[in-house]
Amino acid sequence: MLIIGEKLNSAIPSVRQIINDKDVAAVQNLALKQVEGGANYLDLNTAQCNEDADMEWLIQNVQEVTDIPLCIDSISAQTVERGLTCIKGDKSKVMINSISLEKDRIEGILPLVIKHQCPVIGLTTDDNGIPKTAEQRIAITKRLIEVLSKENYDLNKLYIDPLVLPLAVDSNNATMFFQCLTDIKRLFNVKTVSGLSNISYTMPKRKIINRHFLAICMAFGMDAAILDPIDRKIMTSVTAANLLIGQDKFGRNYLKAFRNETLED
Amino acid sequence: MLTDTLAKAILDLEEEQVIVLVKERLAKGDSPLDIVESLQKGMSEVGKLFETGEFFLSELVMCGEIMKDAMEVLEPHLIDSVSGNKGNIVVGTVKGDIHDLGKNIVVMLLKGAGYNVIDLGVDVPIENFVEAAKESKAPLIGISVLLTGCQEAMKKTIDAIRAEGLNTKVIIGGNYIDELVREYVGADYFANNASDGLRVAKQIFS
Ligand code: B12
Repeated sequence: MLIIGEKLNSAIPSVRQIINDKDVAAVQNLALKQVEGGANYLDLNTAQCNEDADMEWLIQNVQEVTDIPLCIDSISAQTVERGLTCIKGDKSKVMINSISLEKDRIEGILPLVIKHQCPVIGLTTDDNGIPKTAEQRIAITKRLIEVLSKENYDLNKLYIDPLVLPLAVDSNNATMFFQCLTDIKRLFNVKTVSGLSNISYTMPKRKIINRHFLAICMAFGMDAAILDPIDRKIMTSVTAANLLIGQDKFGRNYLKAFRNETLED
Repeated sequence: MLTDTLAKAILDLEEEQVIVLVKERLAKGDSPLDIVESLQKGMSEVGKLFETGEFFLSELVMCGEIMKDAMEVLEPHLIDSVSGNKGNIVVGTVKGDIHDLGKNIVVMLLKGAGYNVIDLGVDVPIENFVEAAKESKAPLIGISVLLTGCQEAMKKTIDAIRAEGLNTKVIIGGNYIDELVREYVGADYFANNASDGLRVAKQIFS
């Protein structure tokens, strides 16, 4: 299970603040804490700030303290391009979050993904917005894969995000999502990813719902998640779920986490 | 503290490193049995940590798996194709005990030395030992035991063999076995390693 650390996101008010303040120490601290918590990638989003310039600033400062691969999170092709330009090291490791069937992303961001052969998150949405049904999501996935295949893109690097909708709106939204995870794997054999937290939108004690949702998603074969690796409870769920789904031989990782005293019940 | 790097690698459950080290030592010309001894030493430490609760059961299992993989590498070197049949030996792990890594090494070694080994497996019922002894008229029976709780079963097995009036010697083997245990269960010999077992066999068949 690939963990994409979500903390360096300008949608979080306190993070927006430290980016605006150009607080290097705070940003680097957040980066390192996520790595320590078990992140495999760090998502960077500056959309609520001075997006282009701050993306560059963020990348430079994060890369100063860690060489963990980064995930550039933006809907602006210009930001993605600028971000890629200032990446030190192998650009083909940088994940792009995200493309979709929306026209401007296909025209703007896709060429950058292809040029650098970056791993990419593909959202199952098009110019008509987020589809309501699993079938529509599958149809969009199919078209996205066609577009990428035409460009000879390595589909092993594609992470489809079937887009979670809140349970509060429709109590079938979680099961519909599980259906998508299964079908996408079965039909196209590509990886899946989720940002998870939308599932609990407007519910109290959201973290409980989020981490149980995550565990079930893992059981349905989800390959990656965008989450807060500093949250020990959700990371404990990752560790326990990996053990339960046969991804942890002899419980090595579970026992290692136990000995490092990072498991939380 | 373990100074032996191979023993240390198995204690750390570094499966890949164990295999690398085993191959290295073979290449260096070390005797396979010395390598087994290092592995045994490391496993013994794992056992101790398990006993004190520091290691968990899954780690004991993993340790066993690593040993199995190491034995796969060692096996061809332990069996230096001696032809001919020097006689029958019955071997098995006592009733109630499923540890077989040590027993398998003994079996390999005896086969390699030209004996016809009748391997009864693990958790062997008393009757099976008796039957095999009668059928094969083996002059030697080897019984493996790693669990102290299986001492009674060992004693009963040997009593049953004796009760048949067979002219057969019994050797028991295992990590914790000593002269006291041997005497208590009524065996003729005991061994804490495979080569002692081989020595006894040679003596009996000569
Ligand atoms: C690996 C292992 C396991 C593996 C076994 C895998 C397998 N396929 O054999 C697994 C995980 C399955 C296992 C299970 C259990 N184990 Co365990 N296990 C061990 C461990 C760590 C190593 C044993 C081993 O393979 N050593 C390596 C081999 C090469 O050495 P060896 O067996 O001693 O054999 C050599 C000599 O003794 C001799 N030899 C052996 N047999 C014979 C026979 C003859 C005829 C001759 C001549 C020589 C001979 O030659 C061999 C080669 O040199 C030991 C620790 C230890 N100190 O031994 C615990 C240990 C034996 N296990 C123990 C326990 C408690 C258990 C369990 C009860 C755990 C549980 N709670 O479920 C179960 C028992 C299940 C059962 N019913 O048998 C305890 C026993 C304690 C006691 N007082 O009885 C030990 C001592 C660990 C500990 N310190 O707590 N175990």
